[in-house]
Amino acid sequence: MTASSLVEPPTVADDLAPALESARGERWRPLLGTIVAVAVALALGAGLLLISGADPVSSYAALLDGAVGSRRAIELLLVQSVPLLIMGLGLCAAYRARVWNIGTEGQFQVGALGAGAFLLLTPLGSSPIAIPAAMLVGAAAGGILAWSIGALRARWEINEVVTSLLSNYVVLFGVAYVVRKPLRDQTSGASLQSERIPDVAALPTLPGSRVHIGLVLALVLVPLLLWALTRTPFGMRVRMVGMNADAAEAAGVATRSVIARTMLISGLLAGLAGAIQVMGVELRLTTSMSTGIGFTAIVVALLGRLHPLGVVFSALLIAGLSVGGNVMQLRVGVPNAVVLVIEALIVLFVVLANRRGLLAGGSR
Amino acid sequence: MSWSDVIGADALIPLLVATLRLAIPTMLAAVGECFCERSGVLNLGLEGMMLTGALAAFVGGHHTGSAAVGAVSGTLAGGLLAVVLGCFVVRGKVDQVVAGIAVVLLAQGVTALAYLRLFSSATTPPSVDGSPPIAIPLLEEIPVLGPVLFRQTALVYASMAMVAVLAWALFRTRFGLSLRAAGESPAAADAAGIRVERVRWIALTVSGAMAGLGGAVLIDQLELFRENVTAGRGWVAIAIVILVRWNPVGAILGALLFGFTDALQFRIQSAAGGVETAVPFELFQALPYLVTLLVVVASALHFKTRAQPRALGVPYDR
Amino acid sequence: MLERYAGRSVVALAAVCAALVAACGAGDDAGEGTAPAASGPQPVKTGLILDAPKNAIAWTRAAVAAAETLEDEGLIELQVVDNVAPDATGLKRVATQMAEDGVELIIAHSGTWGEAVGEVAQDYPDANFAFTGADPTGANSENVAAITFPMYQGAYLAGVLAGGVTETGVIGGTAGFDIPVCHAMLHSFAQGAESIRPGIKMLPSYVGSWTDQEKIKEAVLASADQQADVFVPCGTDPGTIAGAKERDVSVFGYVVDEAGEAPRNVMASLVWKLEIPFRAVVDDLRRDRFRPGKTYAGGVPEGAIELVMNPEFSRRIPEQALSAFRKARAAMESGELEVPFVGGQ
Repeated sequence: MTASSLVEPPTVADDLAPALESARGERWRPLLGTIVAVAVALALGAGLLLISGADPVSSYAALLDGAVGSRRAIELLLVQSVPLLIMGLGLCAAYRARVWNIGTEGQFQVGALGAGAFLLLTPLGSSPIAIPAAMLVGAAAGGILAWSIGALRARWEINEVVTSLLSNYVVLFGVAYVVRKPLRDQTSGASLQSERIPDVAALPTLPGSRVHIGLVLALVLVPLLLWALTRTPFGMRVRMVGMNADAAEAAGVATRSVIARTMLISGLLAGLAGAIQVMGVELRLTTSMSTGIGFTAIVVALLGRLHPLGVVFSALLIAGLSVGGNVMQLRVGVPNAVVLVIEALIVLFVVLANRRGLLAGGSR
Repeated sequence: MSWSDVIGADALIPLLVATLRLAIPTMLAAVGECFCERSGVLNLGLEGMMLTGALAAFVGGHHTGSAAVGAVSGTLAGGLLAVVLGCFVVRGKVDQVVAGIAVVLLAQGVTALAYLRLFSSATTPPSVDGSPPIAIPLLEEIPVLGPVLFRQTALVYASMAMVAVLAWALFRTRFGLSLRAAGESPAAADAAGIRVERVRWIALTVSGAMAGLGGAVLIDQLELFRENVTAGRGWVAIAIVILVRWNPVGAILGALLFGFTDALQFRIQSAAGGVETAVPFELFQALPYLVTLLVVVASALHFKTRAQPRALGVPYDR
Repeated sequence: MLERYAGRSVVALAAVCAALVAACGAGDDAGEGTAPAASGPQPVKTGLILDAPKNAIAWTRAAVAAAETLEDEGLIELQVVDNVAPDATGLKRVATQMAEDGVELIIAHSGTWGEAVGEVAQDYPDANFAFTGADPTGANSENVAAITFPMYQGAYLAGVLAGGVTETGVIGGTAGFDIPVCHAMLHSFAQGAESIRPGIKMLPSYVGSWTDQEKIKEAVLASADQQADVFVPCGTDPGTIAGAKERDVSVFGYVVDEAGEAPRNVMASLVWKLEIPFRAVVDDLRRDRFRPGKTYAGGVPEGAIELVMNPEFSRRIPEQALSAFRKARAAMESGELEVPFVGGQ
């Protein structure tokens, strides 16, 4: 059994056991394949650069230098990768169950909105517990939104792709309203934004660096998700639902609850990422808080092959490409849209190399 | 504000004309997507194909001055990108979700690069000439429907014909039967002598071409190209396909509903005349998406049965 | 590892790449520039950061054109990075890299970047920063200059012309979102029209997107259906002009001279001559008067915002409106007329 469907692929329960078995046997093959695929994509990208008149060596050197060439660059890269990593981890849970949450963008924004509103409107916002409390509020906001979408799917089979996709737009206009009216910073004459969050709620940075502690939280979530998805009965059920929901149901798995819960997890983490972005980077609510980070996180999760460790690498890779792409334009004059093309090529070749299945398992 | 400016007798025809104009690009993509998904292939690259089609239509139209050349190049470009996706998902049998999203990224990058390269030296942004409307004698005399449907451009007539042909082909031809079989039960279809892979290639390419044509119609209406000019219409089209339960006739209506709410909300905003209404105007902006969302939920509660092609998204290996 | 289909897919993709490559040539010549023409002090190494593709919208085209003018004058040595993500991280990483590379003047061309610019500026006290579209009341730090964008002043003058040209007494305006600068612009457009034709009706449309040109165009058509016959855009110029062209109504160009896009319909353009504030910033830098960072006004009194008439249209403007326009402009330049900034609340 290979790839994904929007709901369940028609296979029989007997496929499950050998599929899970063979996954353990070939741990390193996907990694090797991925490396080859990235190399092929970069080589094609080099061809694109070459024929377009830029020197690929100096272009890639500039890209690399921009991403990791200085201490400050690395710090920015890490900050940039935090929301991608957190959201990518959450999506691992949902996508492993073949629950296609396309609404992380909206859940991220709702999380940011919840955290921001909490910090600006309640007295707790300027109290010592402001940071953890706002994270909880943000996560809850994202979680509730995602859970509702998951519940619609679980209870009435309402396709989550369409509901989560449409919810992004609705949230976008909600945020636009909130920063225009109720939470508007009346002192700013130039842009539409909320007031600045209280100073106690700004995330502290790691000693001797500019990287906010959201990174630590993100890194703690990695083993947690890894454990939950690979070492627990819940993780097993998620995989069974992803491989064949009908068979899983027949085997006694409460598929509805798995669907709603994986959706909840991805929403909680997307909301948390939004809260962290507000407290660690933006420090206020704006209409330009997210520039499609939620969509990029989908690419991160898929490129990381829905494995928490893979997501660490893909979050760094994607963040590095976007940071480095601007520098490549700065130094070599290559339009940074090249980076989008390279990103797309990497994704395409990585899936091609791993075409035995996204869900780390089956072959026919 | 005056509601007669929005839905009064004089406002009705302009409202319906606007509905059709806003709906057509999305409608083309959605009907094509229905066709494709019915064969079992999920084309998530639709937005990229629309965008590529839009750029190709613009370049073609700009260099030849002919809207017809533009439409043809847009259609071909959309189809070509679908062939690229097909190499991965039909031949390579990779995950259709991932490959589709990657194709959208690819198209966004490539169209941005190409537009920059082709037109960066222009001082005035380049434009194309849209095709002129052609009134169809007698039919245009029909009250309400006449001026809405029969005073359109040749491109719109062609689009309506394409949509009708696809809807008809899916349910009334042998090929349509094979296509639906490939999407419901590829193994059984194969056993019955249907070449599943070939059918899926055709369906995917057709959906890319339709999306490309949608992009071309958009360019014909706008007479200009800007980066990301399709602005998410491909994604909306995919949502509509699910909303209407994979029925191409439904997709026509779904796109019209979306276009209607959008046309309506702009007219409400204008009629409000900048006076802050009790309802924030962000709600109006969100209206097309909210209404679609509500219809999705309502229709799912109403129908209860599954309509999704059973083999959707599942590659077929003999 | 890449199996048999992979080979074919590589070929297919490579073919597509090759086909596109011809279109993607070395199209970026802004960075190379010309040799400084003027003798005297060295040109200032300047970096311009844009939040959209540089030839996509008038907002970015205006900044690039202004910076290139200064480069041609030998005042600066220019680097442009466009299409940078409009959030704080997007600006920070590019501005940081420029500062690391020793760029002397870093200009961020978006009002929403003001705060992020301030943060980077603290890290690089030796570099100089400026950002456009600034809030005139905002505070600046030592090495940051704020360049204001009082387009509402120009919009008032455009309104005077609109009031004279409208036949129906209904005018319209579009913006992506109801942000303060656009709110103020549409408000003073209506005020200007009211000053010459009392009782005028203004229909503002907030589209909900800065980039969806089809929706922007529809907003114009919807207002035109309700009799509006003169339009002004705020950041939404391509779709607005396309809509005005289709209905053959009048429209103003935004930020750059856009008469060429619809010669029959563009009455005049609200041109933002950014080279004027840019030049003032660079002059101050070269004479060591840049610090402490200050606000550089770029409005009508400074000559930085100007209504550039479309000669093909001007004969259709009634003489009474033209004289009212000239009077208002003179009053604004002399400081006699001060248009208030109404950014909504």
